[in-house]
Amino acid sequence: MRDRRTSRRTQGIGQVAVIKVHRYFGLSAAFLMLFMVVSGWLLVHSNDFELDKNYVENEVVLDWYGIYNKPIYGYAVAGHWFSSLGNGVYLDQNKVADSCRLHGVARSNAEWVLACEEGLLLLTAQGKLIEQLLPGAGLPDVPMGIQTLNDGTLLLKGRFRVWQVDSEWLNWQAAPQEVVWPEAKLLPEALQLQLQNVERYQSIQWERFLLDLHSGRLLGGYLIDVVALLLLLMAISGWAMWLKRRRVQRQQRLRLQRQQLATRDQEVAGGVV
Amino acid sequence: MKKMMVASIALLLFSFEVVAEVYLSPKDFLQQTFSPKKVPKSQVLWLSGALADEVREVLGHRYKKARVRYWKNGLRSAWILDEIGKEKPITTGVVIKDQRIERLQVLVFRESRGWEVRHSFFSDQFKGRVLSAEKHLDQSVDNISGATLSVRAVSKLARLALLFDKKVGS
Repeated sequence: MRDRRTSRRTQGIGQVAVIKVHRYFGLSAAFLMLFMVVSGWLLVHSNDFELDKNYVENEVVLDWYGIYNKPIYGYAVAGHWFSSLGNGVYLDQNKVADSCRLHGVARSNAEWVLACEEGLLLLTAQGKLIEQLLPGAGLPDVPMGIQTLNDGTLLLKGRFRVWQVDSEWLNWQAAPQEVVWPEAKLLPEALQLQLQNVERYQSIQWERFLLDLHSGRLLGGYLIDVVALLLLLMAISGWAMWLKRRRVQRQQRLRLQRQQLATRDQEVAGGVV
Repeated sequence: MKKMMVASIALLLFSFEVVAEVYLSPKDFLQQTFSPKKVPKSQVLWLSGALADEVREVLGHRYKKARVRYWKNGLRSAWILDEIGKEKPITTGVVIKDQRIERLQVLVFRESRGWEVRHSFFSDQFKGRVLSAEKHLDQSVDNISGATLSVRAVSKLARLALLFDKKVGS
């Protein structure tokens, strides 16, 4: 008798726990779903709200993205500085091309030649892009350095050899190897500060931030996993509650039937007497 | 402890940064087009004067480079062109034969969305397309929902390659 009472009490506690778990998971899932709906709606209308044109300037968010002010290195040629940041390639403080892994800059026939691992960038004296030469498509090698000799010959350091090219940038030939290649230097402090501000405060658009939040990428891709897990646990706890309720209802129905039968039996017995 | 948490989150984010997806390198594209040992020498086309205006008509803005490089062998020419979908350039290779598109292939995709344009179910639609007098494709291309800007950019590049081929062919 005591065992049955203890078991019933344990079952009651279990049922309460399941209800609580179900309730809290439901609330959490509802909150996350609400967040997904609102962020999704904002993303659909990102052009209307100009979320793709405005940048996040919140320090916490930028720190969260790991965008810190770092020392900037570049190449000084003919009184100008070239540097490559996450946002792009800069001629002094002006962006002239998309970001690349810069390995050197040279001047040839009044043009700037930037040696990026992705390819050679040819720019006008004002920094306007003339052309991009890609390895295997106009370039014989991956650029790892560049240098103009005193006689105006332009040398390109490839992965395995040094190259020189004609004035039309069409024919490449192997060149002598003994060349001292310029190394990247720290930019002047004032220029660094200017570029660091551009790099930090014009990096993350609101649309990108919302997209990363919405997709869960900002939390390492686990947001969707959490939502899925919550919904799964809700389904399991809901099913457990439904089973329990069905069992109780069946027991109540049986008890009622038994009581009705007993009453009828008594009535029948009374009638006979 | 707080700094360590921020640093680890930053590290985690770093691995999810959107990077350029290279589906086919320009070198491989050219070798597939002309066969590995028969890639012709590159030539350049300057985008100046009337051609610059025509380019602006096709793209809606000027092409970001002053000249483009191309590879031509007989009636076939190969072009590697860039156009921004939403934020970043999409590098696309287009092969033209006898003023018709023989092949279109997305080589490098840098955007965070719209990468579906790389699939052949989309790019095969361009095969055989020619440029109309109004500088449009002779048949429209089906859109991909969620990749509208990438579709638009790739379609513009197809028209641009046909325009350039017409110029160097004449």
